[in-house]
Amino acid sequence: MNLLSPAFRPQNVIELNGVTKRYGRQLALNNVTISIGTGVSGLLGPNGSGKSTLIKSLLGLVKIQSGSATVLGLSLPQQVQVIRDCVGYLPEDDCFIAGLTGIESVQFMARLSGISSIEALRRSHEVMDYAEFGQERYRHVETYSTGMRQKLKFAQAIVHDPQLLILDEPTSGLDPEQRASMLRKIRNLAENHGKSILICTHILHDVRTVCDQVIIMARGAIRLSDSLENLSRPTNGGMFVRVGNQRPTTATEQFPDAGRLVERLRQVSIAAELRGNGVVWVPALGDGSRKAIWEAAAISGVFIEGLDGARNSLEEVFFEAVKEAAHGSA
Amino acid sequence: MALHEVGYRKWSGAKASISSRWMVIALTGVRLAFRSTWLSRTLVLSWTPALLVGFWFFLYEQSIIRDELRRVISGIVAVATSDADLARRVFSNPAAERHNVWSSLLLAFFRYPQGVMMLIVVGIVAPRLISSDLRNRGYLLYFSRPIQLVGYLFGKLLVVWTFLAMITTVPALALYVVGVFLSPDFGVVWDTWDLPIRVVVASLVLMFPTAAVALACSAFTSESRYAVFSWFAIWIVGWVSYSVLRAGEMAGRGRPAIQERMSQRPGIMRMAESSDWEIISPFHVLGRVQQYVFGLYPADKQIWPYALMLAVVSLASLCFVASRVRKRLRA
Repeated sequence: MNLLSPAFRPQNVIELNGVTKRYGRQLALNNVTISIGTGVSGLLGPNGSGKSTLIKSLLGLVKIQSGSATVLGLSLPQQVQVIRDCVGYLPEDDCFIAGLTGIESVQFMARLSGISSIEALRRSHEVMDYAEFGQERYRHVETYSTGMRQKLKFAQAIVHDPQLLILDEPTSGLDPEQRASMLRKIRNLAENHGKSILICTHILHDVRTVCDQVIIMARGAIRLSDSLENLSRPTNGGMFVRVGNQRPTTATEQFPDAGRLVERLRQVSIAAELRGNGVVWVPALGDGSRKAIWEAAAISGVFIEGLDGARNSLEEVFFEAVKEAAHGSA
Repeated sequence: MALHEVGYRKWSGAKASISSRWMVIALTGVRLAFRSTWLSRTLVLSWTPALLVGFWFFLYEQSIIRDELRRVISGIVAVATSDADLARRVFSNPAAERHNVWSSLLLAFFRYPQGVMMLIVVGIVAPRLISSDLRNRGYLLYFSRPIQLVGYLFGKLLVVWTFLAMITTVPALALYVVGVFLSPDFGVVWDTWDLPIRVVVASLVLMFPTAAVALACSAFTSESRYAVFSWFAIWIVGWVSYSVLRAGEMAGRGRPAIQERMSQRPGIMRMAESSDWEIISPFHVLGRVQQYVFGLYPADKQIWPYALMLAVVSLASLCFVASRVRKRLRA
């Protein structure tokens, strides 16, 4: 079996089992056990949650103290050199080799990956075209803007056509247009070229746009790992009612129509709540819930614009998980 | 979108062995260093002393068959090696001193012009090698590929070694070959066959510690100008400290008679003027070990303190560089 062959695709690209890493007395990774499958996975977490340590552990840049890990079916740390050959890494930090031009930088990374000099140059031009570099590829990297350096790191990460891409904040420093373009490229690499991609980011919108799986870390531990589809599925958490023709009046009595609806629902013993922007949340009442809402709206003279089942938002899931972690450690 | 833009394409091809990737670091480092015009000028300049020493070799070989040149060559030997005894012996019988003269001239070549050139060339090349990676976090790029810390260090050392070889090993070997061809007597090969080996070993003695110390200076800071400063400071402070302590030692012993001073002229290669304080001057420590390599070190003196000093400094420097890079990787 050729581990470097593109045909070799393990079911789980990353598997960690009880991985622990300490920096002195500080626990950076606390018994982390997780399986990350193919496709695009988003690694979320607040600052200091252990995301960067996890990524560095996967690349063998920091040594784990206990537990076991495999990347692309290769075990860490025994096969770390082979792993690095199959992985493309885009670091969060601004990093470059001073004195080289853009194309030389990408060629240099290709050569570090074992590609011969001329082929490395050809391939570098190819990936720089893909990363939307024009003639600026012949400029020294020191003169690049933050966005260009980000694109350069992306080109360096994919130049050796790795099976797994680890992208640490890939859209940071990019303008909205470039950001959308970067996300399209990431999606394209996963969907059309079979790349497995792990994105580490703070930007929930990016995760929603490109990820199949979401992993949330806090305080060095995995708090949640599920598919984006599951996390966005309707919950049994009631309904959201959007009230139409709303006009906020005063600071104390905003959204009077929504307020009237809440009042009427409470009169019939339904514990409705007024949420932001005049949206009313109604708890799950079984089959009769919709009828009760329409009746209350008719009696109070309120126009209902929309009625949706309550869904998890990624933000809510993220903040809940982080809050749980904070309470758990307190 | 450019007309030739074909989107992302898969790549498949043969890759070089993982164990040889450090070579890319070395080649890129050498190529980047060559972009400095000052370095190119210094390299050209560093070869000019070889012309002079080559001319001395020619004069010496001619003095064996032409007596009128004996006075000239013995004067040159006296000046170049600061060894009055050898100069006297050359004057009386030059053919008998061939190995000693060749060794002494090669050692003088290593010690004086190339010693200074080494300081300048390494001062241009080495300070940016690690400090620039620390400043721009280049180490993240290196270590995200199959490069180990040892390979990284070896690649960086190789950059410095390449330039040191260009100004020491290569011109010294060229000098030897030129000397052999300019000699009227092919017996010169028999007399001096070991010198190319000694040249290579003396170069290694120079290259290992100096490159290690230069990288340590570079790893000491992320500002390469401070690395340049610390590189020159190590040599200058070492030399000045030795000179001051040596002067104090001489003063303590009392002023020698004029005849004694004349017979013991200050010369770096004369063991008669050796002092225990030499151990604090990198230039003198290197000189002693190179002197040993060329077979000019007195048999009654111990070389191991100097050799040990070089080994300890080299090892400590490399450990320091490794710890600095490892620390940054963990951050």
